[in-house]
Amino acid sequence: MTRHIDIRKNTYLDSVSLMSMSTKANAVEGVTQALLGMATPMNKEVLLNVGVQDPAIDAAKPSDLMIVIDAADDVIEDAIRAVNDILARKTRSADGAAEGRYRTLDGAFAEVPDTNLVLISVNGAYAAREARKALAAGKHVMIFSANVSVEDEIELKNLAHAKGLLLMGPDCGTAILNGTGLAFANAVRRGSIGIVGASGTGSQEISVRVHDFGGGVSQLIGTGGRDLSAEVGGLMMIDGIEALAADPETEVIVVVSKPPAEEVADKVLGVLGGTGKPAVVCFLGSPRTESGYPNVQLVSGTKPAALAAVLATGVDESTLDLHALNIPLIEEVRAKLAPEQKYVRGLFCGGTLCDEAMFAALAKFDNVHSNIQKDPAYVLGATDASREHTFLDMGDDDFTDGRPHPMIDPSLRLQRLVQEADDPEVGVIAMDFILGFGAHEDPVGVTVPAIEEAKAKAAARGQHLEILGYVLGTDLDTPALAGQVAQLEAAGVTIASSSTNLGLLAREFVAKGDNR
Amino acid sequence: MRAQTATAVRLRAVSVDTRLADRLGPGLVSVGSVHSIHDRAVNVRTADGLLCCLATGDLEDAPRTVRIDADSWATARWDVGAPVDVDLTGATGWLPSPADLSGLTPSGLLRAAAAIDRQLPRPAGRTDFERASADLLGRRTTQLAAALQAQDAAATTRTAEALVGLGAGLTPSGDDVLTGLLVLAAAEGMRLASARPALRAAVADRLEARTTAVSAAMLTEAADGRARQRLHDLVAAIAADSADGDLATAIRRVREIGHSSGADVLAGMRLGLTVESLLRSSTTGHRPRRTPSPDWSPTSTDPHPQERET
Repeated sequence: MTRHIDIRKNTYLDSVSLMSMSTKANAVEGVTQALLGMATPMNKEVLLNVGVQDPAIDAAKPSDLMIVIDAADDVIEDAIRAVNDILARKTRSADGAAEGRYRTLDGAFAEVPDTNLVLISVNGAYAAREARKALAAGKHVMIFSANVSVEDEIELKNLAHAKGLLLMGPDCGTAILNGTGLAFANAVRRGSIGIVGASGTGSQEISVRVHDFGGGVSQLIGTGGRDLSAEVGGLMMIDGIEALAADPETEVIVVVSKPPAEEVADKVLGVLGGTGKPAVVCFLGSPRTESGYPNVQLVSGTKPAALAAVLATGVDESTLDLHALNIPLIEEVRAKLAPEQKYVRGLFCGGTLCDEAMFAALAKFDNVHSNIQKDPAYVLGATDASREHTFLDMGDDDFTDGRPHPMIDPSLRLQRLVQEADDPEVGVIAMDFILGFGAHEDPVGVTVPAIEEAKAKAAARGQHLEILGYVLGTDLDTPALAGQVAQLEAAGVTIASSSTNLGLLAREFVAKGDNR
Repeated sequence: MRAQTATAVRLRAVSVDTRLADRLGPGLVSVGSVHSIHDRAVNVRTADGLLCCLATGDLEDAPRTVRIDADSWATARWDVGAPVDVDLTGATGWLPSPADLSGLTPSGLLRAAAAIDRQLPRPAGRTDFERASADLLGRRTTQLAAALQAQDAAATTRTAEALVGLGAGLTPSGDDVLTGLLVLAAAEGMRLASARPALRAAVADRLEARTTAVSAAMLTEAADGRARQRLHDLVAAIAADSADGDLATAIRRVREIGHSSGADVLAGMRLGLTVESLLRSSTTGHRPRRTPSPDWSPTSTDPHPQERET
């Protein structure tokens, strides 16, 4: 065992960064423990109490960061390097030295001319103007902003196509390019599966499931949710597929979207068929089952999509943990619910996750209400009370008007959770928790008090309220998947292993006999 | 690494702590030089050594803080040591007013403490350091509660001093606990007001030698009953003694501060509420004071005598 002590002078990282750094440092293989703290006299005393003593620590000032690493002799150098890497990344982003702030795109291009991608997140009214500038300068573009007109979208996508550039968006929430996550993205292994997605959280979910099945992602290209409409005609989807077809690192292509316009679906399938690479297509909620091309497989959900893609890379299915539905668990939960507890309430941050759970419910029930229901008779507004089975996409415009997305600001969802618990006909509340770049730093921790409150309300009237959670993330994410899951389990929440299973479990928990 | 810019960053203020504004003067002012940089906040050290903060407009008001207009923030490029100018013209002044807790019964205070307790996480320390500091924090907090309850000024100062700079984070946990307690004790109508001189003494001396600069600034302000707005909102929600939902929301908002800072602040407030309840129930016929205690002076001349560049 070797002890390494490092004092970083005048290092001011915020508490969240310090904690995540401590968590990551302790996860480094071979590290017995890594201690991080500001060098206040009291903290030095605590270190002394746990047997850490050193002249460098004695000399340190309260503005200095103390780092103590205990690790096995043969890995201490690796451990130090790993911790220093984390620190270097953190300090770089915290002190702003490696990132410039510029008033205009022209200013930025002048200073860093070799940039090749621009992420635009300004008011939608100005996004197209900025995107035109970026394309004119020969840069790929990702437009995070919503509220860009469809006319502008078509013009920009045609312009980008003519220049051989990507135009991802508008309203594009996720991408992973050459291993770098943009906007909302998860830390997943790099590999040979390329994803093109018109639905942001659907793409994130597939990337995470691929990672869980041991696969990796070459590129994840977002198109924006309107790309497969009849008007836009899949301009970016088709360019994205062709980019992946030409990419030597990509062996398998996955496409995910809500059901496209029929003629656009035909076109997309045709392009995929022409690539010759194995392809998996998930048009969520679409009745199609045959693609018409031998190399293109249609699947019904995000988990089947990830599994099919990983198997197409040559992995032996018998070596995978498929996370099959836990049938005894379903029986167990059914037994706990009272006869009147026949409804599911789904409170979602992720639009595609909401869709997938809603489609699972629709396969068995008619009375499914939602703010994203296609059938006008079952559409609920943001201010409407839930009815029967209700699935809410709380990241949709009617909930986010004037406030941040629930992946960042959970307050509205917390209120709704407690509110749903007042309804004695509710048996199951299903929720997603999305980790990764851009998301809330502790989505589970911030929700646990509301979960406890909701359960207590039901318990007060003698009912068991089943809370079913799914955490979209990996153990490479910050916070890590395992910690978030453990917090939920400690709060009595049942964990689904995927978005697909979340929908199926929620439905089956309340599907006692024939309760259509 | 970019070269340091020689020109000052120039920014427009949306709102400003009125005490800081009095110190800086009106119009376009030179605030000082950049001390440290975070995503949405930049700390600036004034020429006379005061650590203050520039924050993006979407953050809340807080002591020594200037909230900056989003457009001008977007143009800023920060470098440690670079000078910063801010235009305070038209900025709204922020002045927190202490809530009045005199109307609460001992059981009302305990209800509020229980509401906080329900939302406190129960994390288990992972490293030896985290476990040892959490353990020490727990013991010293208990000692402080006993000293406050016994109305023993010397023991109050001694035990509070032992919390300064203790624990994880840029604002160590012990400082966060003290901040929650100090802000609560500064509410009107508190029996705890009599303990404020003893608590203030614990955070008066050589603070920047005992904790981080940011934390020292937080404690100095908290000693004057001042903290970021959401702490005041929580005290006001406790004072309202009304719908549980409002209180729970106010508690949750405080909990969301930092990684564990918010939970530590809540622990300090819970401690204060519990002690206050005991103090009120132990004195028959006691009527809490509505007037501020003698040491409370919102216009004290120099509240930060120990803030000096080291």
